[in-house]
Amino acid sequence: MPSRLPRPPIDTAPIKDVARSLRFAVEQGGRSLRKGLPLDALPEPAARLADVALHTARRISDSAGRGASSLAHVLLDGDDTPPPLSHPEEAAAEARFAAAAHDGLRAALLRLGAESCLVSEAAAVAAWRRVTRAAEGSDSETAAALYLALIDPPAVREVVWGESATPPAEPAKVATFAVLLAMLADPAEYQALLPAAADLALALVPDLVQAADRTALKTLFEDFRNHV
Amino acid sequence: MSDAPDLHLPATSEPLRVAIRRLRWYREAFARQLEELQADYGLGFTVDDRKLARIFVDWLREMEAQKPADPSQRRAYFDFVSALMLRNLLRDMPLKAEPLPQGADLNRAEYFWPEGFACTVFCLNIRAAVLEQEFHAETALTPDFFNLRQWWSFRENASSDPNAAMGFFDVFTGNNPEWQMPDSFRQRLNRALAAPDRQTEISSR
Repeated sequence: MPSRLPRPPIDTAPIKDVARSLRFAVEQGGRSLRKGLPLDALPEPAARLADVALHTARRISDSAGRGASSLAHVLLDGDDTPPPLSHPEEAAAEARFAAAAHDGLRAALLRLGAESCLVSEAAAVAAWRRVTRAAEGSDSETAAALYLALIDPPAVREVVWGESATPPAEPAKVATFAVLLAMLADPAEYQALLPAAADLALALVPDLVQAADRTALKTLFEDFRNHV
Repeated sequence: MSDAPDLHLPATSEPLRVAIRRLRWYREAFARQLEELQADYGLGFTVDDRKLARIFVDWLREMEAQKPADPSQRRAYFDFVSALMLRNLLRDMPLKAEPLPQGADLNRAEYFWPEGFACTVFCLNIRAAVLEQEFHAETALTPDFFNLRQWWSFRENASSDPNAAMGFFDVFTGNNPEWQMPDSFRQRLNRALAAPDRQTEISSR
């Protein structure tokens, strides 16, 4: 008889979200501070104080981010590919999906011209749970349901656009569609397919805006999953 | 295709007719073509990736909408979709040529119209590669491809009516050009059935 009970799986997504939110807030704060109050122009000791405060805040957020990230890597056992949407019951599928969705949404938004963004991995976990609990039908149907679940409540929390960027209409929808399209196309090639998937999604903005229900989204996924 | 600028296609384990319908491979093949033109002629281009993706999506949709059910029409369909690809590229032009190399001879098509030349040789090379793989067919260009007057007319006509590009593509490949409704595969087939030997003179265009 084992001396200890097996540990329940740890949900790392909220921990990572906290660390990332902290880092995002520090970066945003620093950016705003630099824009509104040029440190170079501040007289001493105000400039030094502001500089030290910014560095300290960044160090804390970096340290939190590193801790959360290494914990996640241990738990995910090095597998950073998303699970096939046709087999949501695969081992660690939920965590793999959430990590891949987080990284993919960030990558897609940056590809669309975002300077920085905040994406919730916990929201991706919640979307996965909601959808796979009631999952029936094809992987395209699962993708359509995941799309709606990632949009509302939104997994993309904040997006910052550079001054010269031209944000597309509905950037969160575009990025979400791109992520799921790349997962459907080939989970093993997910990372490499993301840029093409993002550009395809961008070309499909009018369709995405119109596709309000699951059936229309499923058709859109089916029409383009083999063309990434 | 031995007599047009080369294109060394990206590796793929799929048939080319499948690979070309994947944006990642399509984009890589297009980039390769531009690299070859840079190496051979000193032509440089900037590519608008977003525009290229839109062109690709439009092409897929139009191609899918006109796909024939009859397998005997596949060869004609490959010719058609190659020309359609060129029409879309020229209509929404994703390329911008950089300044020409010093001493470039403007009497040569590649320097006279670099963007149009790049898109055209890309489509010609893709067509040639697919036809070779699917039908073991050898392809060659007609002398019109090397005639600057044709290119002058091609550029002029395609800028006022992008569909005209499809007729010129047929001229370069030695196919019977359809000028009235070049973007209709059905029309093309009907016309071929009605008058298989008819050759349309393009000198009047």
